Amino acid sequence: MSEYRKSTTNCKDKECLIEALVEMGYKREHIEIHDVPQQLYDFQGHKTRYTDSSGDKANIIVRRNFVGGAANDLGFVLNPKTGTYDAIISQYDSGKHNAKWLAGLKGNYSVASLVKTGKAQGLKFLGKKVENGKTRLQWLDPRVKA
Amino acid sequence: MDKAFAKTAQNIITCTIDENGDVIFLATDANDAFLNHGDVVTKRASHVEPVQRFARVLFYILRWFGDKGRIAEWTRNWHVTWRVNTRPVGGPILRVKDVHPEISFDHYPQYGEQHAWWFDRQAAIDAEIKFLNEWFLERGIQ
Repeated sequence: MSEYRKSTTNCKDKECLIEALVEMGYKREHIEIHDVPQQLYDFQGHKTRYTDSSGDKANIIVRRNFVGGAANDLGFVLNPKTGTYDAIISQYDSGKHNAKWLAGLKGNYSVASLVKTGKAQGLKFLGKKVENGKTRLQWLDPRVKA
Repeated sequence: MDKAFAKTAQNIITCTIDENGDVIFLATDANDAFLNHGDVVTKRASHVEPVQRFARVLFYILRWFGDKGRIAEWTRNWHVTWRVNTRPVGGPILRVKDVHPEISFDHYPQYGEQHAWWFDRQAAIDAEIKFLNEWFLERGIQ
């Protein structure tokens, strides 16, 4: 008898989220990281107010000039209740940063996070395989004799 | 760049990331290194069960009381032949062609369709793990 576990990905690790954004095409030097959340701006330079009437703030930000076109800032704010990073995406940019894009970001976050965890656990990473839109990661557990 | 996978199964840990970015892995002590990745739900993936009908019925009656304990442990040591039933994830009772995908059964399809069975329960479990990891990659969890 075997059981499987399905883990719904929560973006809790800042470094892994940044790595995932890089995988999604943003340059690392264009990603701002702030311990204290900073204001997000729209394509006209005005404060955005999608989630907060006093102005949206985020810890991880890609400014609008790096998002492309007449875009607004893309941000991720640390939710103190859940410990996860929540995306702040304008309705205008939800065409580019749509559900599919977010799923891709989550997938890349999962890869970065699992590889990091595996390394911390002393597992030897064997590789990655992408098939049918799914990604398989494998490790060798040196504690188990084959 | 993708690296080549090792050939042995027992010491390999596999995780599958689905189209939504969520992670699926078999519940083993080693795989539980990844428990903190997110919100985890655990479900039955498959059964390794006796091939013989009478033994199978008795097996499930006894296992109805639980998968742990002396009786459950005793059922695991029965001297019977074993098969792998992956219906909990929508899969088949493993057939020869599922266990040996590298073999072409085009000329003798009836052999490929036969249920695979094992004297050694651990060998059945190894085949089960290998099949389920492929199943998760190809089909995911519905």
